[in-house]
Amino acid sequence: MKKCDFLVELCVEDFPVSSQSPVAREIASRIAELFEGEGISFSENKVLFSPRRIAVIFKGVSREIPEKKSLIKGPPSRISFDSDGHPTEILKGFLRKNSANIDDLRERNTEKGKYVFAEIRSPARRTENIIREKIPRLLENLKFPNSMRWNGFSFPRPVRNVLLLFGRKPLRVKCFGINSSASSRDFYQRPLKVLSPTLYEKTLERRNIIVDAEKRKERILSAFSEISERSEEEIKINGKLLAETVGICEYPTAVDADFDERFLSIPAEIVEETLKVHQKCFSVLKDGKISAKFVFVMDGISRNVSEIKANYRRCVEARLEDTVFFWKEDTSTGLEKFFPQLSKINTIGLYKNLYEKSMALMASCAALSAIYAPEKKDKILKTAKLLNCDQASKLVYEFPQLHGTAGYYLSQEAGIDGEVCRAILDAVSGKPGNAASEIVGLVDRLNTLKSFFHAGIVPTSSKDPFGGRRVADEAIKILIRSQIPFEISKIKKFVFGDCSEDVFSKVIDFLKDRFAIFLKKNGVSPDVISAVAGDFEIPGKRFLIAVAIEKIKKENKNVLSEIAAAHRRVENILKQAADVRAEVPAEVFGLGENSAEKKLETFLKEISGEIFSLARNGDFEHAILKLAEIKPALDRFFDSVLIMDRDPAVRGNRLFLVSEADAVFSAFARFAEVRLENKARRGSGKQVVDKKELI
Amino acid sequence: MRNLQEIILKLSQYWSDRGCLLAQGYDVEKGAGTFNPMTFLKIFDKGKWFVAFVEPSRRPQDGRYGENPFRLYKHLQYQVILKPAPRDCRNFYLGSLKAIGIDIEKHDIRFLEDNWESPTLGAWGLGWEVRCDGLEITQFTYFQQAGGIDLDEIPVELTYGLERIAMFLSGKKNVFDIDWSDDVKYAEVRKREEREFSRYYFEKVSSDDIFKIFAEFEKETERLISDGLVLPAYDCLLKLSHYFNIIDASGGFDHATRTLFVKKIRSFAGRIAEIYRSKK
Repeated sequence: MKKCDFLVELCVEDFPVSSQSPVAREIASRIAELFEGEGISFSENKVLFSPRRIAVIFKGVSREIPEKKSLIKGPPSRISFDSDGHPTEILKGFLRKNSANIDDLRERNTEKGKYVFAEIRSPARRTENIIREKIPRLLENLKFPNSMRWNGFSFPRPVRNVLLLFGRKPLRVKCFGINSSASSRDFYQRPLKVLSPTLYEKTLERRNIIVDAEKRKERILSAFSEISERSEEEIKINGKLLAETVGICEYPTAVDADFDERFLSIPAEIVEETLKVHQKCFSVLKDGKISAKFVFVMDGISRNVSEIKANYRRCVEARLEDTVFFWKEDTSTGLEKFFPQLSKINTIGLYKNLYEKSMALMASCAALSAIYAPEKKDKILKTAKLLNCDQASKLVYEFPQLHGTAGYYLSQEAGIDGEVCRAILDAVSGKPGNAASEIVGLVDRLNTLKSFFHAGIVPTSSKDPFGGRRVADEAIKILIRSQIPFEISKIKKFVFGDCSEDVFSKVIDFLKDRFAIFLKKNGVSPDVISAVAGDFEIPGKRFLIAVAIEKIKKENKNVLSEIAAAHRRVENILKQAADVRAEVPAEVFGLGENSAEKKLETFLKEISGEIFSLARNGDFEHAILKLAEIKPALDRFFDSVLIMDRDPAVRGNRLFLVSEADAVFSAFARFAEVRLENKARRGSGKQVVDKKELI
Repeated sequence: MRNLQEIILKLSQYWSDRGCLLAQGYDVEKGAGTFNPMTFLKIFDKGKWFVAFVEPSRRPQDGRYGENPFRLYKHLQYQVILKPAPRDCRNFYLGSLKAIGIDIEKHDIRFLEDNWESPTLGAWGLGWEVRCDGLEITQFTYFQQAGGIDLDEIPVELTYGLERIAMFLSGKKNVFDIDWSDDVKYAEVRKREEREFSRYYFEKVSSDDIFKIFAEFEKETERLISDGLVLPAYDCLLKLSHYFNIIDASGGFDHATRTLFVKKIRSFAGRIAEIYRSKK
């Protein structure tokens, strides 16, 4: 079968960076679907995009779909023709339905007698005809979020040229209200003749258009390293800025320039942010410190560089001038003066504005610091009070990303205690550091989540406009990494006092979901996650337990299976006895020291003492390993007595002991949930049999 | 290009040659050329509407007492409306840059995503800020909605920042140094105005008084709308928008009030647009 390549290219007015790849991929997959549906084969496709063009190349597309014959079963022969041999209404209906002629009919014997069949030929079709017929509507009917409407069409930005190249043949169609063209277009809308899909990328590159985003990125990076080598300075590559730069040019050319050194008098981060946000320029480091230089990326080949460079420098300096103005204004105001102004910044949900939210934050932090870090209460309160102050500053108004960094520098300028300055920065970034940053950072995030859920904003994987999942993930990180053993019951009392019970449980459920995802990302297997999921009182502890169990599962599987077996047995007994549990006493009574019950009670007391002491010291691994020692004692107990004795008092004593044992296991996890099937048996063929399992 | 007025002349000649009506800035204070009835109301008319004009645009908040080399409380916009937007409007635009002496092949001309919204006019559009060697020189916007109404004939709005372009072309680092004509500097025409209006907006505004004036114009707008006199009503709306900006600059709003006032003006804009369209 003859094959050729097929190129579809839409020249558009500059696409938003975020739309380029999704739109190109959507076009590729929808055309692939169309081809598959029509029986057109192709070997692969290549997706290409730049701000001004979206292109897909399909390789090895079959030029023709061969003729197909098929027999369609119709009515039985006896009802197809009347006594005169003329077709009946039933047969006519069948013919109409299949657009068949009387000549197409064949009679065949079937198990149920003679039937009429229609022989339908789908004639051979040419792929190019199908493309001409179907692709224009397919493209016009694509739906994208935030599309633009023009002339009755809808697409992220207007389509100004359509090129469909089938082999060497441009296909003529009308699409988006314009006649398709025999060539591509450059920036100035000048035609660019493309001879075949294979030559597309090369042809464009010769005219200084790189349509492959990956290649544009390489070009930028290699220019960067050239500049670095020449100047012996390092270009600070911000991933987001780089991705954006790749998406806003067709032929990136990097140029290094400098600005007046006097602008280095303001903090480096603020200089960097100004360069990045306003001028999309990269900052330059000399020996790890910011230097009075920047790198910009222009579109197109290097030309008129000295003039363009001088113009860029003027823009950069104008922006820095403004930033210096903001910095001076903010420092002369002083960070603490911004506090009352927070009432002018609106927030979503529970708190009307940032002032109310800050007041709530301070109240909760005061209560929590009394429990967790009484000696640092003042610093914690100060951090809580200043945390959001920078949001009323001119700097953060201009550069929202500087929230935290601005607070850090402005608090330093205001002569505030260094620990508090640092805590502001760490609390905003969510980096665990000290009690102040952790308590304040955690409560602020919980208040944010509380506000969201109060307002009915439930973050999901497909819809999370306010970044609720990120906020929850940062809260989880603090809960887990902090030295402070935060307890949910305390948090409920001191942080969730101002909202409904319903909002509290929704936030906690959401945190639990995010916690499970966090565990998974940290290599904890799903069964271990569900084994520890029940208890969320101290998330930090729960995390350590999960990690310890996962480690034991890998290194000490036999021991873990002992523990799981014992815990399962205990759980089963308690489940069976669920109806009689009400009679279980609080301790074993009325029996001598040598009774099986008293022996087990004494043993459990001793071993649990050791286990919990290990756990208190944070050695969860050995605490859990020690749980295995309970098994033989339990086994002996079960062998010597019958739990479900007829005498309620005896039964009560025994059930009490079983529930005591359960409490020790359950303090760590529901071990019965852990899966311990031996993967090695399936894998290498080498049989590893757990000896203890055989016994 | 030697001076500001030459730029205006060249742009006017260029757009006149491309079929634009040369209109005038509208004599009521406003924050942007979009508020000129030649834009906001005329785009609701059926059929072709090509127009160009210079609009003095006041943004009290941007005032810097004439001391900042780049910021002005009042600047000049050159505004072009092409409705429906022609297929090659981008090339038309690039041609206009050539007309004022920007050799586009020698500079780094970029179209960066910048969508536009005017909450008080209930209007929004999709488009770009056009940068020349890093300097924003034009807003290029395809309107999608105005007065809360989906537009069917999509206009393109080009808004040139005239002072910036003049600075770019003359290489001046301070806006007050640009030449308005060969004999007159920008500072001579405008500096005192910048100083006095900044003082007024930042120091001498009595929010309470302006709130009262706002309330009067609100009543007047309401009355004129119910009389079906939408053009006079629209003049009142422009006043509302201007007094809103003054209160905003003087720091007289709390968030809730501000939101409420935006809503009031938007609702008037929607009703005016609706009546304007229905009564032809």
